[in-house]
Amino acid sequence: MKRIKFSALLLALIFIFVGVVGCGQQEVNTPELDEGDLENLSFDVTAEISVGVAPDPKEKQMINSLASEFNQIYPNVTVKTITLQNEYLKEIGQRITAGTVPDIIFATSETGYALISNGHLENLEKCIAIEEKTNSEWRNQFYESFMKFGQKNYNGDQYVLPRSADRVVTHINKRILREAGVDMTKVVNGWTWEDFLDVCESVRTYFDNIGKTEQNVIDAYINWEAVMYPIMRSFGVEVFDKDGNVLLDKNNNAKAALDLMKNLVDKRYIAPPNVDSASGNYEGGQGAMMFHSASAKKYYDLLGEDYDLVTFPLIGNDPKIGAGLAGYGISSYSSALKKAVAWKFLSFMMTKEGQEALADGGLTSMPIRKDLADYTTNKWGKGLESVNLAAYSYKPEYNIASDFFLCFPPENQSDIIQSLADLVTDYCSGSTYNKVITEFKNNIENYT
Amino acid sequence: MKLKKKPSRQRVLNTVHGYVFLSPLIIGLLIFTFYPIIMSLSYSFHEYNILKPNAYAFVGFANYIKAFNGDSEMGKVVLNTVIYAIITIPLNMILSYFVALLVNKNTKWAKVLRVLYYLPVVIPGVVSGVIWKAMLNPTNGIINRIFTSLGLGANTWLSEASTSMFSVIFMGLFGVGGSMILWISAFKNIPDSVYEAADIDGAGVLTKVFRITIPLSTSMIFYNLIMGIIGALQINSTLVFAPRQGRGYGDAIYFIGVKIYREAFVRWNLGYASAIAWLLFIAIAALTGLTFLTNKWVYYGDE
Repeated sequence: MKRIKFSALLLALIFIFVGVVGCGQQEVNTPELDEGDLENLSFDVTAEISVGVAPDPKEKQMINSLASEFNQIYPNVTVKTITLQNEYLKEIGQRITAGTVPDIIFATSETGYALISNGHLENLEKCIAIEEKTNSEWRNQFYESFMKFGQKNYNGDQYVLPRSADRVVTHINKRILREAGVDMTKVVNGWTWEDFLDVCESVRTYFDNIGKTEQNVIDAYINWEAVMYPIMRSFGVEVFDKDGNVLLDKNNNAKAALDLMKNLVDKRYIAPPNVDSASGNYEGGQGAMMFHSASAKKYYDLLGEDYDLVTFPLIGNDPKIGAGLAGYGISSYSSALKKAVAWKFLSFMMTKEGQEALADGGLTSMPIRKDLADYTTNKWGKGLESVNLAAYSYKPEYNIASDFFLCFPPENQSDIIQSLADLVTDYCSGSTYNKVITEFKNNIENYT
Repeated sequence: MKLKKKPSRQRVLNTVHGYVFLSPLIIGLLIFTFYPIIMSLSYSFHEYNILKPNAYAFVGFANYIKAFNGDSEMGKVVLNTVIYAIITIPLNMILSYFVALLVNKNTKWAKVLRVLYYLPVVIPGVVSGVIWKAMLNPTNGIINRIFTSLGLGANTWLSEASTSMFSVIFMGLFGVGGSMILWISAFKNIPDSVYEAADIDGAGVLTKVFRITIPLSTSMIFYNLIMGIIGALQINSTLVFAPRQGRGYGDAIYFIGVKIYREAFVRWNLGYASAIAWLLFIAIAALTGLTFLTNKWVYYGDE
């Protein structure tokens, strides 16, 4: 009897403790952004704002460079950088609960949707409206296709300002292409998928002739959403309707899009994606080409004069090129004054001086401003004048975000992207069309 | 009437010193072990999405009910984990036992082999995962190259659902060195006199193994069994090396440990992830308890 009483008491104590611990979660406040603060902010304002940056030392360097220029205008504002760790959203969540979320938060195409949808980022429309009072052309200074990635559902209010323009391009190894006898006049911005296949075939033949039969031609990352989704869209294929119903199987071109990707495996240009999506080892100087959005500087440093880049090959009459977001938004949880100062910092980032300051800090991606597109005269192309950086700005209207997951809650974003990647991986690895479509639909059923 | 003796100043000081020296451990345990345990129990009864701090709410047993009825992945992950445990626990125990028997000699080669078998155990899990990922690459991994050169043909390893479970079990075999060391320590505790007596009675090698070594090392068998159950049911190392975020193709190696991680840090459902973690804890505790109930076969020395 004593034992039962003791056990019951212990259990009751645990439940009380658990209940008390559970009640410890505090409601998190989201102060209103004050228009008065925004309009009347003095250049002498004294404040400290924090900027949460990606865990890349370069990002911190760029923000510090930007802050140093910003201090020329607002000398009494201290800008502190906080490096957010790799498990980025987790850290943001923990910081929100702990009340230590930075005033300005780094966001990407991958994390932006979750941050915006969960109300962690401030709606910037009020700020932009004030900006437009003095400059009605404020929005028109920037590439529209990149700006829209920072909007809620990409079709509404602005929440994130891009700090640069990220786009998938074809990085090439000129030495290998030359040795393979490729007609380099075909490898230009705006080249077509057919041109690309011709180049792949030349390189394949060259590799086979020199005994490199297992060497793949290109690191295509074919099951990466920034590559596979634009290919599907180039065929006019949409993955879901606005309610999350699968549309893939209702479009006859879906199989054609998948066949185009599988063709790369069949012709031994790439390894089956279930084996390795980057087995060409472009970065190691072995592969001839690579589809990626990473900065040209990185590969120029690796490959030197062998390096160049060109646009992603255009498919069909309505081609699409994968593009993404890397930018900053203002935390909903900051005080009204800090929000106003944060906006001044972000709007400065969008100015010519701000973009040049980022370039001084090491940014080598294309600026978001149209008037800085010329890489031969502006700082972002410094040291890279010999390579074709125009690939980043070629026909921006072709840009498309991998936004097919927007009809699902943000917590399912990763699963939805993975399901589409699985579909492409399985098909390119030999599964039948009907099988991969059925499996994809079964997977998606879990989230609808 | 007896008066209670007042503790001496020295004794009080000794006690205080003792607690001061113990305090780092106690504080560490309270903060890094007991607090997370209690918090996870609390979270398991709450709707807790780390990205929605204002949506935190008490939901009673809803997370636990969801795990049994309402999550289509649970059946698959439980089945995978059980299959893995059923195969890997006896396999690792038997293999490590015989490896230990093999190297439990005082020769130079036995010592070298002991080191070689134990080496994989000292490699950190993440490093080991990355190495295995490269070694099991179907096209250019070293293992397939060896297989091909031996005329055995290449294996698809982790790149096919049908061979993924086998691959994970195969990788696990390289950790037998950990159990091997424990077996060897158990063997060392068996007095030489018992073997000498058996020799005088004319016992052969197999007789000595089955009549002396195994019966006298049952306490270690029991310990390895318990640790095997705990380790196998908690497996989550596939997160490092397996495709599809650790699930493998066709979810063939989607284990409970991976599911907990994904719920917590991919889907941000910390409440539900905590509930699954507690269910796993209950299952492990129950199996461990059951094993203890059947421990009459274990020899603990002169009782």
